[in-house]
Amino acid sequence: MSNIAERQAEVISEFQMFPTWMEKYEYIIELGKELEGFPDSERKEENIISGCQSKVWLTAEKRENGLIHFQADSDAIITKGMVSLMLRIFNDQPGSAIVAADMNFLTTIGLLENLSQTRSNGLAAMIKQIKTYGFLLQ
Amino acid sequence: MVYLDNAATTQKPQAVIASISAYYEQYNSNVHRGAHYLANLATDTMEKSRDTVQHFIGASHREEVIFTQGTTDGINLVAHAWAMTQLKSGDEILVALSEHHANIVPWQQVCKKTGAILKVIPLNQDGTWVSDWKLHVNGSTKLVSVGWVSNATGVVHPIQEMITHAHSLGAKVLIDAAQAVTHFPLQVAQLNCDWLVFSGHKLFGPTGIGVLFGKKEILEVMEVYRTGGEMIKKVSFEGTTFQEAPLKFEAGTPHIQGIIGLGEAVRWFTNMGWELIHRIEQAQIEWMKGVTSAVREVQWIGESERKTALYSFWSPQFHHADLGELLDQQGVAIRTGHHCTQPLWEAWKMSGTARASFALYNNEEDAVQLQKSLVKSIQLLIG
Repeated sequence: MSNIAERQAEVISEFQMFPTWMEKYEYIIELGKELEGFPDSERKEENIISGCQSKVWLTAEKRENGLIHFQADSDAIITKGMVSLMLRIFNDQPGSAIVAADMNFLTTIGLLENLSQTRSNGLAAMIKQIKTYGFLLQ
Repeated sequence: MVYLDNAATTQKPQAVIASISAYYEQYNSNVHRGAHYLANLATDTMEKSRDTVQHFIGASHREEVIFTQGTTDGINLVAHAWAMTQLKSGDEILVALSEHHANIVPWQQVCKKTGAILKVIPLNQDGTWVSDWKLHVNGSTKLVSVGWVSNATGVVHPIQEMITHAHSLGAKVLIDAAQAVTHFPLQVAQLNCDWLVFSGHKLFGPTGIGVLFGKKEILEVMEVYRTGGEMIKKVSFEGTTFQEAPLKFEAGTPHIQGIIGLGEAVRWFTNMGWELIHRIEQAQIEWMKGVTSAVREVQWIGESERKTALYSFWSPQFHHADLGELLDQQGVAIRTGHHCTQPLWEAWKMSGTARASFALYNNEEDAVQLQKSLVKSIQLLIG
């Protein structure tokens, strides 16, 4: 099982295959569609990450192996793709690694330059919430 | 880039920007009571804007033009200086379902304080008021406060009929003209509305400045709202007396460059002439008929015959935020979200829309670009 840095390297090399914004978005939308089903019962107010223009739900649990498993969803497909990308990086990792993770890969894949301020704030809120869970559940 | 977010704010003509620079570069000074050349020049230029606006809105008296921070501020002024003191328990205030939050929340506050009741005119599916809207005005209605043109749908409402009808039952009428000001001559004296409000920045002027028109005799009975500065006649600890309108409602140092810039914007806009302005808008509506009939993957909201060149659209298949983001990537600026009309979307069971709104500088190429990038975005989202 790969660690966070290895997964980030994987994502970086994937994004290198998509030089135009169109292809990047197409890929993100694809990731959004692939995101695993989110239980309806968890679609509640306390799981919503505030700071996003669209709705984002996020839950986290520490499993028996000591790793943290996230589930997330969004009502907007691009956001859902971003969520999916984040979960691919962070899912089933130890809390301490999640807290310590460097997020520079987002700049490297050239996603941030395309993102609006609103979207960047939403992404920052999402990362903050993931790291908070990482800290609380380590 | 294609700018189609004009219902939020318009771009500023060079003349407006130059008038603001000229004030700061050449005659920056505080207005009123100045014993010197610059202060007099600033006061004269600022007050000339009041005359320009008076003429523009067809008011009978220059004292009926009050400078505010914008539409929201104007409505709040009427809410505090009139409604809070004049309304009592059981009185009714009437708005329509499509009102902007700024024309709902101040009245809710008034109701909380006075015991008045907020009533709502429902809408047809095409965004127009229900046909029996007249029945919503009754003997208890003391105030009708309605938007002329909806910022969410672009639908034009029959405000002249409303003013006449409401007056016949003894109610006063406030018109929110924020979205109407660039589309119709306001002619307040002819309309016979009691108040009318709009913002400068949606009329090619600067932000932070707006206008409240109020009938002279009503302004006289209105209480002071904010106090201090030129609005005061005499202060003593036994009691303070206030100036007459408009100064009575303009506390503190005014937004001088905003007022000067607004005056310039009104002159620039007036110079276009209504004939040209209407011709441009008619052309835009024609181009958009092509776009709306070609792009059927989204639902176009408010397809009434009486509307401005403002287009709200959505699809249950994707989020409006996604659409806005993809259009932005293609250089097309629109607005997405609830447009500060949440009760409308709640009633229509929608979370909001994407909205493209035109101003007189938008050309056919802009409509073509909108269509192209819409098609491409939709392909990406559901393709």
